[in-house]
Amino acid sequence: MCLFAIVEGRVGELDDTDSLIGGEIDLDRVVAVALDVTAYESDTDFPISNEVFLNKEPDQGVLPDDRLVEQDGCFLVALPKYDYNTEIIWSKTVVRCDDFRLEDFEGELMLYHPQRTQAVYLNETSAVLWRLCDGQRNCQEIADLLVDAYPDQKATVINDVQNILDEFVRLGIAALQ
Amino acid sequence: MMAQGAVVVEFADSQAFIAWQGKGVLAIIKTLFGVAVHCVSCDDTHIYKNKYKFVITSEGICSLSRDNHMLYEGGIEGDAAGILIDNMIHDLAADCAAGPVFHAAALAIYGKGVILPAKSGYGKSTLTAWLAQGEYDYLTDELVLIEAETLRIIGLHRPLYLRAPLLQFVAEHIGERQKAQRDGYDKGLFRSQRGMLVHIDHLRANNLYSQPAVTQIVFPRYLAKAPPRLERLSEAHACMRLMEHMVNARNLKNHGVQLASRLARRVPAYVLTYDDLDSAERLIGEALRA
Repeated sequence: MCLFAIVEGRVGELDDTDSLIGGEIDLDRVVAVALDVTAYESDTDFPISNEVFLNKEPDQGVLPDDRLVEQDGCFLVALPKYDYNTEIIWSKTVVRCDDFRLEDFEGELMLYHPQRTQAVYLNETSAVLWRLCDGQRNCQEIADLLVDAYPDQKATVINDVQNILDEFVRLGIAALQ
Repeated sequence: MMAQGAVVVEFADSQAFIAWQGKGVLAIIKTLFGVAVHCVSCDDTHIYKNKYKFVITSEGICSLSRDNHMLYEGGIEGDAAGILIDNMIHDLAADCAAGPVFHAAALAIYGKGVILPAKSGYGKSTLTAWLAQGEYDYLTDELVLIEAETLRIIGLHRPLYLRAPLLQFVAEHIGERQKAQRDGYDKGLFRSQRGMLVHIDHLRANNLYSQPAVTQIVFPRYLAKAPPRLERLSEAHACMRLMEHMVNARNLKNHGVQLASRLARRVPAYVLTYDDLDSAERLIGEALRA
């Protein structure tokens, strides 16, 4: 069974329950713990949720209470089959790389890096996010902006932002500072 | 005295010089590069940046060098021919600044041009060979220059280069026509350990060497057991893929991004996934008719 701790907005994978409870993580800073259902065991008591709990205060969470299990001051929630082993650190500022030539196709973008001879396609959502990576906002603030725009889809938006920013960093079209 | 001379191979504004020596060497070069070959004086060597020397001795030993660096020495003409064409294509593409050059095959049908940009291993040459046996005119299977204003396709005319794994395909579909004509390379083909160069006349004798405007861009990908599928790309997605296959971006203003963008906006582009060649031909035809 894999567990993930959400610490000040950062999602980090933990080796096992013992390492979480035992002390590497400061429990005062843990606002949620998530179960990865890719390793979900049918006999577990943890409920399954399709939402990600990322609020800094657990009592402000969007998840129904019956989906949360309090354990040693943490809240546990089962997660769907997403890859949360992310490199994104939510408190970090994300800055787009300006070495790319840009072509705008009515919302969609094509980026080209001459030295790397690298071409990247961004759909409309990714393009909006890339433009928000102006060095003035951290990842959390970027996510908050989009959540404000789509409050009904909060969990999905946060998940998308996380995945897309991860991809930006992986592709080298944006960097964390 | 051994026959000798010099030629220049041209592709748009790009040129490469070959000094040749030996019986049959000029015929081999002409077979490889067709109408792109022009005879010049041996004394003109200083004019050209890329200089090759191709010799076949009376004992049948081939030697191929580039700027005095030996590329091949041995007894297999097909190997020398394959190495020559690979190196020259790289040089011609790298130096071209007349427009965007793509690593792509190109064909024409009823005055419409289709380009098939693809990386090695995606089945581009096999699909091109298949289409060229049917109604399509073969233009090239390697390098395509698109004129910015007219969208005219300028292909580097060369024999199809079928790598060794595709020889079975050739054997099945070309049959008796694949016999090399030892003394007449103008309609011959070259075998080597790396593959086989097949002159287009062996695929379709009445092929027309036209320069139609491109009306369709298809990015082919062979996937075993995949259902045949032709998916329309957005303009941005097409532009990204075109940039991935552009081989002379560094020679072009703004690295050719605007040229690729203009092409993507004007010409419909598709991704073709296929398992069998019949389906691939049908899907391309349907898109052209649409």
